[in-house]
Amino acid sequence: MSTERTSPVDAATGTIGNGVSYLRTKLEIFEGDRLGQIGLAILAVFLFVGIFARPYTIEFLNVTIPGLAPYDPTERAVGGRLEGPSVAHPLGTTDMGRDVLSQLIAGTRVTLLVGSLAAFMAVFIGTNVGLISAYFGGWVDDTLMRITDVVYGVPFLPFAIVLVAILGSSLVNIIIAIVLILWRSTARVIRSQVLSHKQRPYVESAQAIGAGHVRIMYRHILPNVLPLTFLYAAFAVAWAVIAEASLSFLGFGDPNMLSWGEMIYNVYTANAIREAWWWVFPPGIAIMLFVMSVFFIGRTLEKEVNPELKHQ
Amino acid sequence: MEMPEDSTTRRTVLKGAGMAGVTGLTASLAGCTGGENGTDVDGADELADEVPEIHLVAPTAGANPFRNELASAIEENWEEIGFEVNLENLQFNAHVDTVVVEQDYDASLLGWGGTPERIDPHTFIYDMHHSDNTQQGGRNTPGWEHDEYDELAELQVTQPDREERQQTVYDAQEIIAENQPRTYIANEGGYHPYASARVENVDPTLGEGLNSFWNMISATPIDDDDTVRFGYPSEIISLNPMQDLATPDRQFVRLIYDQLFRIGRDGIPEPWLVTGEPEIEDGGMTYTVELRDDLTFHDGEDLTVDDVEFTYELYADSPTYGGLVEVIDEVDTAGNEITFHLEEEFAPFTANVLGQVYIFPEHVWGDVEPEELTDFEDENWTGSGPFQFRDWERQAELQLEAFDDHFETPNADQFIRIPGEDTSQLVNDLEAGQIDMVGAVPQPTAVDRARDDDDLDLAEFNAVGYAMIEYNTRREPFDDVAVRRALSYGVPKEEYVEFIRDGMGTVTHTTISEHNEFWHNPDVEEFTEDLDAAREELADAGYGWDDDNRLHYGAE
Amino acid sequence: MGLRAYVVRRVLQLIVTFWAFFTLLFVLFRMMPGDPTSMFIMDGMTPEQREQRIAELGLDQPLYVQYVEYLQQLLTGDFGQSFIYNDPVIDIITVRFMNTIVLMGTALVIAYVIGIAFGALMGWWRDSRFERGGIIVTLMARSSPEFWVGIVLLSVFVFWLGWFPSSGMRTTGGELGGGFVARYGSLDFLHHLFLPALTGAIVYLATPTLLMRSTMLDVLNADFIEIKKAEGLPERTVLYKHAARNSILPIVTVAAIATGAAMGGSVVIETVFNWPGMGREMVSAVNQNDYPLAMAAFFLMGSVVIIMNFVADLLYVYLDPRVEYE
Repeated sequence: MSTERTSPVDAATGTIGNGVSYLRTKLEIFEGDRLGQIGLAILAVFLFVGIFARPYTIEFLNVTIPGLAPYDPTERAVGGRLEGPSVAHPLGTTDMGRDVLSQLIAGTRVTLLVGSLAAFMAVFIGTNVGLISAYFGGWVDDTLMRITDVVYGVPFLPFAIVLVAILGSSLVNIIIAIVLILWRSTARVIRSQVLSHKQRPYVESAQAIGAGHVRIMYRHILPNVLPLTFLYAAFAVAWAVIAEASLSFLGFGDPNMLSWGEMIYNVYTANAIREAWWWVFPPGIAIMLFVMSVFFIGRTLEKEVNPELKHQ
Repeated sequence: MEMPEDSTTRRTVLKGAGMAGVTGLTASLAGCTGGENGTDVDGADELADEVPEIHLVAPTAGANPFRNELASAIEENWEEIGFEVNLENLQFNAHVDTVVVEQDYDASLLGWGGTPERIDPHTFIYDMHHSDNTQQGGRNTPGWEHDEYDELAELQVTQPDREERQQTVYDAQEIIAENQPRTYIANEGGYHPYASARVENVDPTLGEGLNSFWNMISATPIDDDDTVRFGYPSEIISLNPMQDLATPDRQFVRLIYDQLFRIGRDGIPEPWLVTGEPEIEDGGMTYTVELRDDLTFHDGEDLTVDDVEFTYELYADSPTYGGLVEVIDEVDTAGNEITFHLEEEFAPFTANVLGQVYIFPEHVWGDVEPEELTDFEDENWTGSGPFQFRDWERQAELQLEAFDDHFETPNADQFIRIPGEDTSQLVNDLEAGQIDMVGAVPQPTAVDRARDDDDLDLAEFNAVGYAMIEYNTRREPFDDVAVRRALSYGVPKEEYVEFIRDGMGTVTHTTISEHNEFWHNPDVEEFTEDLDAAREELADAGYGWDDDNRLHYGAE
Repeated sequence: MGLRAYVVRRVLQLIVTFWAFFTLLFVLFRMMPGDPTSMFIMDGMTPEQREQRIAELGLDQPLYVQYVEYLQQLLTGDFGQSFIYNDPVIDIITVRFMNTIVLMGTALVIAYVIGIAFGALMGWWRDSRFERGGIIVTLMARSSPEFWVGIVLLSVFVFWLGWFPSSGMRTTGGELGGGFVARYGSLDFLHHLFLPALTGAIVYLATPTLLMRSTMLDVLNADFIEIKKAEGLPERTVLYKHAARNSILPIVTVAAIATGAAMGGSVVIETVFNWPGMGREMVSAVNQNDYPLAMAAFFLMGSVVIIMNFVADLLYVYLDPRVEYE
């Protein structure tokens, strides 16, 4: 075994390091790109709201950072039944007298959680599958690509509904359902990228000096396809958020983690869409804005990554 | 039944009261968390193990938004008492499977429907609480066993005298209340909305509201297309009376097929295809009825005693419904008279057998083998009921038309049933003028809208069935009556009816609804929300609390 | 490898994919809690009736027996009997499938026709206010979940303006059945179709628009435009010809894949507008543990996706001779 061979841990650290430095240099790409800047700004607001949605208590300092949500979002009757916006409740109340603004703020955290976790895991799996598949070729490639084909055949919502029926409606299970479907597109795109990189001279020279497979894959090839991975991560965030919202809207969401999709589902089951515009529009607009901000950022990344690359 | 105006005022008052009650509750909760134990109740000094976590199974918001909301209120209260609660929300099928079939639960929030056949107390007293019915899928889901109770449940079946039977049913209810195998929460009556601008003469009845048979033959279209369009939040599965039928299916099967008796508006069986009350002889062992002589099937053939005799034989052979008629030993006919000889006394015979067996045309069903019965497709669904089948496209509409040769011709020439995705959707359709009636209780917001809409009105009805919590008495600590009683004190029944359901329905403390006046025992022990009483109940039974307000077994 | 060999190989792969897909479905559905009798239990089914029903449905058989039987059935094109409705699944599902296809097909056609025109214009007027506004509008549409678009349209056009019916596929009380034209050709049907189809069209609009725009930009940047112009052809004709030629390949591939994806997404639109389609049927079948019906619906939806992907691959090879068969 060659001493040159890097452990996977080192490779992973290196990858993350590369990623960070990549991001740092590439933040410059937002200069002069109005939409990209707007996207970053909106995302930053959502991040802030999501992180500080609920109070934090730091035990050893004995301080509590107050949350942004003025009320406990699940507490009944903090206001009257189905009241329009007022000073006490800027976005009005629900049919059970809950505070809509607090629900909206709490929902931000769920959205961020689903978006980031699902996208990270899906892109992680997808990139690895694509990399391994293309690098080794042969039966490995065949097997992995047939699996990808099958997954491509699975329509997301029906699949997620069945999976949630089996495992129960929890946020974790919803993220699992999303990840199980979402990795497929990253896998295909990364595979075709790696296929072309495999032929390039730098891979051959790495092989010539006796570098191991893992090293070549993760040290030499990966950094070159990483920009594409980031782009797909952005799309994955958008897709995951919409997927979770749709699933929640159909009534298969996690009842303990109130998300924006679930808020709309609640207005719908409360049969209040006609009158309670203050309850139905904020979560809908929030979903739209959040996903839009991600797309704006994605566009900027896309231009940089590959001018020829088309939207998915 | 109250006039709509009265009910509006009553509701407004109650709504105010409900809100006040809730605010009070919130305040008291806040008080509780401040103190060490929250109350003056001291439990055992020496503590043993923690009382295990309660696995509470409840419906999802989609399956039942009201009960879903109630479940979280119960969870909060029980945790306040000192239990650890693991609340699991399940879809209806998974819920029934987990709780009723697999019996793998600690506590479960479900409803038990009050169809007209259940106005007779037999189902609620015997099926649901007798220890013979504790097997998987049985009605006695809690697995509750009580010898004295069993005797009463058996006794009432054999008492043809209504007054005597009433006393037995009263006594039985007292035992149930004391032992709380279930927490009986509320009879979930309410409103069914309809378009008063398009339909008149609606006739909501006990337990069923606008879904009642009487409403469907009474409803009269005002405009000239002579059609009533009826919306219900799920599709019918089959019109074959020999299949396993769900409640919505029965509501339409009974329009097309007749029974000898029908359950009347007040819950008492009335003669339908027969000329009068049954003649009961031999101490309740034989029932004799006389068939009307003006009966025909939809295809024009006469309905005779032979068809009746054939029908009861068909039921006896049916794998699905054999059980329904197994109490019948023999059926005799003489002229237009039919005599049923029973194997044993069965007090609810008229309601539960004569009122439930649909009469089939022998000339259509005569050659069907018993095992084919459930799969048999009669393209025209030939019955003798007041409506006849016209056409059906699943998930779209079922079309019926009036059968003019029936002795009770319905008021609408056409009756169309439209399955909706859910109640909200149907209310939207009602408001948009696409349907005329909805056979489901809408959310309070929609009720308020219907009240304000000049074209719409609300049909109020009371319920016989109820929402309940079932305790799995096969398991610790639910085998301890004190624990069940304490948990019952933790169920906010008032808040459920007045706030969550916005005044729709009535709180109950027993298995027979107060609206089922004759059988309802008004003097049973009552469990209203009272967390102090819950703690006292537990302290008296030797339980105690640790510093985190967690409930433990006592050390003795 | 020649084209023929490539196609043969892809067909073999397709069969393997189908088998794996089917097996996955079977396993998934058998893991679901509850059984088809659950919904009757609260309506009075006794434990004896329940056991008898389970045996009747063959659900007391070992799993592998059920698997083999179902696979054999499927190979003969038989989807079995619905547990709940007691009717052949194929009878129940054919109509639903058509309803979904008509709805989503209309939505996709609208989306692609408008999207292509809109995208071409955006590329044509590049760096204009029109283009920038267009991109924002397109991304906005793309960022909206289907149910959200549906609810907004419903609020505006039904609840507020009262222009369209709130749900369903036709006015009730009419003659049922009838042929394709009778079902889908009437004005009444179009009136019901408008909002749900528009919802789908808005959601699917972004992909062809953005694609067409970038194709247009590529063409505009290409050197040969200048050469052709030098040859004396009018700029508009050159652009039109080349933009069309260059965009066919990606548009067709993407459209094929979108058709597949639309099948899965139809469930949301069908729910919002109470459209009697297959997505809704599948969800209700899942809720009622009607495995044959739910599996058939799932299988058909998945098949559309798999076949559309397959078609996209073949088209890609067929339309673009530069692609290597590998």
